[in-house]
Amino acid sequence: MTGRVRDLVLALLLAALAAAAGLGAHALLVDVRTPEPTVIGDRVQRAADAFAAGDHVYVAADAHDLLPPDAAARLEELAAGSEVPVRVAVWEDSTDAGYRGIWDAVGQLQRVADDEGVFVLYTGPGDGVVDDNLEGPLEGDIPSDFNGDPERRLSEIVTAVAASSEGPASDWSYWGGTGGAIAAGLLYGGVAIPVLLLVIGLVRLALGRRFRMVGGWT
Amino acid sequence: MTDADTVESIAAALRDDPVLVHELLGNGRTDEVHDALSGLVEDLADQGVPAYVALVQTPDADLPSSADDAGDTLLRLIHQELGEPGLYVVATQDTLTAVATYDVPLDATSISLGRYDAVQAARDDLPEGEFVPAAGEAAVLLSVAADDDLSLTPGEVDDLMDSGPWVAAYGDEPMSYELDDARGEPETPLVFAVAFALVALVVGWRLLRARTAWAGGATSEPRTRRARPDGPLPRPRTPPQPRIDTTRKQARKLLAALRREVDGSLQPVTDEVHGSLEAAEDLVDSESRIEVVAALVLAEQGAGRLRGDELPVRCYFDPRHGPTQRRVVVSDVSLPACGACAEAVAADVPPASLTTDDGKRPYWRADSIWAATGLGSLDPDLWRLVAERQR
Repeated sequence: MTGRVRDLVLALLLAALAAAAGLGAHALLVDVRTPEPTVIGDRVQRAADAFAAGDHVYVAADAHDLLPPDAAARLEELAAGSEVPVRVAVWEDSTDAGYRGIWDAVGQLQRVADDEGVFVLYTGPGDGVVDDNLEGPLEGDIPSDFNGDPERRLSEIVTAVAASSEGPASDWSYWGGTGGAIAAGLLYGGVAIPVLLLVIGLVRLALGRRFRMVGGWT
Repeated sequence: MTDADTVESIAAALRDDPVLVHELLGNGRTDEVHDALSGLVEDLADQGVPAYVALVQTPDADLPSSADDAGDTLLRLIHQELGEPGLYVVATQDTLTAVATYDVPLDATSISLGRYDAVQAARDDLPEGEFVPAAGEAAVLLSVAADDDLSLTPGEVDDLMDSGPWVAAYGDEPMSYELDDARGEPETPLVFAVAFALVALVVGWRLLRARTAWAGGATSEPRTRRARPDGPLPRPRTPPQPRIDTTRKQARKLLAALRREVDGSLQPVTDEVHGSLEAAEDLVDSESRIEVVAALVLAEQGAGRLRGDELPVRCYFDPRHGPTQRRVVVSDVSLPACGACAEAVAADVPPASLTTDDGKRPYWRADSIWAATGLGSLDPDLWRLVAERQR
């Protein structure tokens, strides 16, 4: 094996290692930038467990006065018939139940349920939230207020969800797809190379060596 | 299952278990809160004070609209229904945490005052966004009641807060767009991988080529000396470079003397002496500067062999520099060198090497018997290689 071939093999090996390091650096960056998830309390966990067991409607033990069992059963039937997955959680409003606000609770529900769908959280007349974690946009007119009779309003919301559809997921890509990502990587790398060589040269100067390394590019 | 949501059902539950905690006041850890409060209730019971704690949803009852009054009213109703003496602590999501004592030697007002001081001390240590929930306040009330002075020191408050689920530290659940932003585009890892790989490939290649060049001729990388505060940069001393005709003349003179000695010798002359002499005679009139230098080396080595002296060894870098004075290590190889070349190597400056006939590179970088033997400085069999080459 000539020196040139050996160097080429080593350089390719280095490139492979660097590619892995690049993936690691990206993962590290994502870790650093990703906000810490909150701790899931028992209230959200019970609702998520019920959804995981196949229920579409979960009524907490303190909320049967809000949505009686027969109403919950009717709502369950309605939600089960929806093509767009919909989950309804009902509980009494509280500041001491393991989450900061209603949006935090519904966010936790989506995270723990680990399932795509529309999530409705109802905490009493006038208080509730509809949110979804669908891949595509929810196309439909979903009521956003929770005023009026709980069963009637929740039924209207679930009916609206059932009448809606999930639009196509956006295929927009910041990098313009795989080819664009490769081109961007080459561009960034191309900019970084002279900078790195300049740094190496400056370090060599600082160490009392010549700016240029011996040998050449061939 | 439905939580107790009437005064009667709450009292009935307390009759079975003096601690009743509904999920909506359970701080996200209802069972843990229940168990920890039960421990504090048992501590009080050991002091002869029964206690009842109800952290419950607002029941169907006729309660005042004021949160303070509603809590006190609900507590009174629960006590009336339960009918037991003791310390009562009651809270709902709509009321403040109420405390009262019935037929026990404890003053509820003092306990409540002790509670406010302790909760304030606990709040002072909490980061923004965290607070003492109803469960924590109930724990404070039970602990104050168990204290002889009906008050807790800041240290005792800290210990209490650390001992159980008494602080609400919920935090903000990241929104989906925040998570998407943090994750970035799906192709972003590919951008990182390609950029890193390209940089490593190109810069690595350049570094490896430099390393190879360095290994192939360790002295080929000149260093600049650090500038001294005064005076110009010192330059290594370069030995005088004799003209080729001078070298040839010197070689001829040595060869003539050697020929005379060999021809006049009465003793048998060894093959090495004959070989050195004849190889030198073949080379001395060459047009090649290196071969003339080799003739000089061989003539000198032949003379040394004839006299039985130690084989003379000249400077590896250029035999014209003269005999070896020191050995230097270059790329882990020990080389004989004249004083000037040794000094140059030590200073990491390229020694003044004899170049190939085209003058483009040091002779020792060429593929030749001269490079292989260091012009006789590394291999004493230079004469034999020359003879084989001539054949």
